[in-house]
Amino acid sequence: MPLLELADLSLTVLTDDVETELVHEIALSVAAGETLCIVGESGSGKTVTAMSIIRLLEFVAPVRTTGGILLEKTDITRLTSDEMRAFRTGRIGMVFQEALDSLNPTQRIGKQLIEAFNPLDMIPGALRTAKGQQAAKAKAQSLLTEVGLPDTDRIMSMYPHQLSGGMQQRIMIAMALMSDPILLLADEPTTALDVTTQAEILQLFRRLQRERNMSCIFITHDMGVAAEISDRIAVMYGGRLVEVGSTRDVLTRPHHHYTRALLKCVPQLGVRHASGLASIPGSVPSPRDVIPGCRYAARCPAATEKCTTLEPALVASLGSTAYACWHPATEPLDLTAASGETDATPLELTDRPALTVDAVTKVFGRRRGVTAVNGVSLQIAPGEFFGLVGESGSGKTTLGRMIAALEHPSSGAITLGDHVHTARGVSGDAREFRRSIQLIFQDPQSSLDPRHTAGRIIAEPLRELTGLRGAELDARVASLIDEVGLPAATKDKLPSQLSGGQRQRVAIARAIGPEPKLIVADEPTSALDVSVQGQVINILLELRRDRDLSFLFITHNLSLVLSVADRVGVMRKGELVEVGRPHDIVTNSTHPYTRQLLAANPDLLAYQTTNP
Amino acid sequence: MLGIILRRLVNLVIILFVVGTLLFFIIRAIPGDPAVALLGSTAKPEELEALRRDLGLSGPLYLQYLGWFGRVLHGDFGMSIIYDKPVLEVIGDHIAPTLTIAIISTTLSFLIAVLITVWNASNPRNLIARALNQLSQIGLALPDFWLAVLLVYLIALNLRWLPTSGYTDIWVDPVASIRTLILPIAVLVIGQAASYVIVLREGMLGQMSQLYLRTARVKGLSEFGVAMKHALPNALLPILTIVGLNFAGLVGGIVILENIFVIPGLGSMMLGAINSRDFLLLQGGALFVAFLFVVVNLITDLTYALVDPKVRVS
Repeated sequence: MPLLELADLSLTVLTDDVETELVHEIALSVAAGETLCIVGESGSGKTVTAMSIIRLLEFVAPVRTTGGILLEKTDITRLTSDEMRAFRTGRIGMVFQEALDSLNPTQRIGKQLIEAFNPLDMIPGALRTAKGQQAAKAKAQSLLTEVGLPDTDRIMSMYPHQLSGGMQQRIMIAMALMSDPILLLADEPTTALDVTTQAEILQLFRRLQRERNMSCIFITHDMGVAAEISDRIAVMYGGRLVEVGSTRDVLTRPHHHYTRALLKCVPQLGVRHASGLASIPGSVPSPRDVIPGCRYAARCPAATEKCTTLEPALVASLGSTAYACWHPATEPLDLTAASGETDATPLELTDRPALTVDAVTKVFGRRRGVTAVNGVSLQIAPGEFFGLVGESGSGKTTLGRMIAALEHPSSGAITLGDHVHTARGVSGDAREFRRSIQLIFQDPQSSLDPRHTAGRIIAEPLRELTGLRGAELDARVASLIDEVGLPAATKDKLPSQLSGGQRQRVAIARAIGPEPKLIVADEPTSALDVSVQGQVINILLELRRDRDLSFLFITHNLSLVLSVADRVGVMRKGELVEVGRPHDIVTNSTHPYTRQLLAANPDLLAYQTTNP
Repeated sequence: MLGIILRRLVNLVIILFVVGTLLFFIIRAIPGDPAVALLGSTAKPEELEALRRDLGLSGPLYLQYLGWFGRVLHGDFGMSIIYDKPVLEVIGDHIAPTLTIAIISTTLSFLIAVLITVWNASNPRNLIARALNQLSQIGLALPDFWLAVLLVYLIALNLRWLPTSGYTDIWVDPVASIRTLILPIAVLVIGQAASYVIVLREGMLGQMSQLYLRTARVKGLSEFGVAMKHALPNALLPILTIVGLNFAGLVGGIVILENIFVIPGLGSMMLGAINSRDFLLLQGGALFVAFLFVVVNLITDLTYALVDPKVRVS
């Protein structure tokens, strides 16, 4: 008998008199002491499913639930909200992605932890007595120690913003455990964290879950994370459950073509994709789209006419998995298929590099200065794709901002073409400098003016930096839109009418418009789904080939940058600790920090080789 | 913290200097001679001149200014002409009614606004809560003098429940005092509570979509608990400034209400000083109001530092 059972669960929200079905007839179960990972891209319905289990959805929007959610034989969809409140505490705990935002900014940690103390055997109102407070405080202290924050009294007297991201997430985990739940829901709890912190938190989850024999539903978009934490994996796409099974079977012998494509999209350590990453063409359908057949059919290479007319139901395979596909694949999945490529011959740096950074230092603040970048020197050759990795606070973004002259260095010099950028500013003509370097930012949602059409966004730097006007300008914008693989009609669309991947393409078109020599791209794909990430990276790689363009690609994603960059630099605490070719870094890195990053990086390939 | 207070005290001195100087010259620009106002138009020129000298109103303007300022620095604000008492003493006599009304009406308005908003946030679909919200728009739109006259007409004149006007010190005769205070305070509370509800509701709505409220719900708090314990303390931050400014405004300027209800407060005092060209009382009163404004603002800022840990710790 499973602890939790979702019986043909469908969720429909009502917004502005339009009904939208977010999740369609999901059937899933979780056994006691089991960790189930729900994997999917944005819009797959994974978060909505978790929210419905703890009944938080109804606070956000009017929602209609059909089917059942049975926890210990109680159908929680039938409880009133007061009954649910009593039922939820002591049975279900939840950890969210945004730890800082999930904590009250004006309350001390201790008070917030104590408030969560509400075990099933507690008399209502007992928390108001001194004895209840004492029990809650003792519980909070023991849990803080358990999640790796042994300095309990100090932590409990602090406010959320005084803690690091990893510590905040540990607090959230302790808070979710205050009432000893039998089911723990975790919604992308490590997505906002650095890889080394992520590895620690995942380990903590695994340990707590085993020690307490707790059931756990772990939601993630990262297949590598799923490989490390789960017993079973459920893959969702477009509000449907498309495949579910043991972690081993789903990761090594997936039957559904979406699962296979998704796994292939994840960059693997030591697998080169210098000529292009795998991606899934097209984009995730909107929940409002009416699609008669399989929702993945439009992007699926194996789709037939049947797929576009009849929706497949979930059927059991010979192994442990069940899948919803008319033409299931049967052979094991080979993730090394694209390998065989080696590093390109190193580009000549000696004659005239595109960019020279010479002993650049940046100190923020006057009195107690914080050194963000400390004596970094590097060169980027014309046409080189240089990857810069580091964790948050490593100074990688500050270095990128100085190279783009959005920030002046405190000392040192940056040479780009005929321009030298020092503490006193940029030498030479400012417009000419701006034309030779352009930026692509992480979040295309907020870096594009929401009131400007894509055409206007792309035309703006052209108008400012080049002499193009009128029909010539229009023609140039049209050709740029075409070059980044967008339909011509994109010109008149607003950013809100475009998908994340399309928006980032608009940002790329805007950046290449003035024909720069160097593009600084700061985490350009980290806000995108992995199936779309490949599309964007491939455009960048193509542009580099066609235009002899250099890239400074800033990211925290080690696997990604190692699979596509010509050279990779590793930053730590403001210093560039290692620079090398990807192959050398993977196989014989000299720096311990790089080794630490490599070890913390969730690795699918390693999972496959150890679980054949 | 100490640094903030010191910096604000320096600001206070500068503001008072600027306000005092501006007032001195603006008041002198009002047509009309205090000596004439005092002695009547039939007085002889010598008598007028003698009185002007007595009042420090003769000689060139800049000398008058320097003389006045020098005396103020020594704590001497001069004598009020109409009350024939030192200016500070006159202000002291009139401060009690104004402060009583300001403190009671601000506190009441604040509490009422908090109650309405919290109730509304935890029962968003409740009809009465929604109606109260709508009423706050009306409350804000009603002019206070009109409301005052209406209440006097209905409750004092027609129903005869309360006196139409007057003021009794609250320490002398509490019952009589409260009877006279109910109407003016009711008028002020309706307007103020309405504006607080509108601002606070904005803040609460912003807070209600914050993610830490989701955490509070997971903990098992009722919607009232979520609103009261988590949303309210954070939503209160922006309203503090408005409460402070409103309070300072009340102290300086309930002229019309004091007139309607015949309350001997600061407003009536200032109005009398203007009408009879009592320059020294006018200057002293205005300086005092400016002083209150700055002090209340300082208290508001310190409260922020106390309530918001981000301000305090960093």
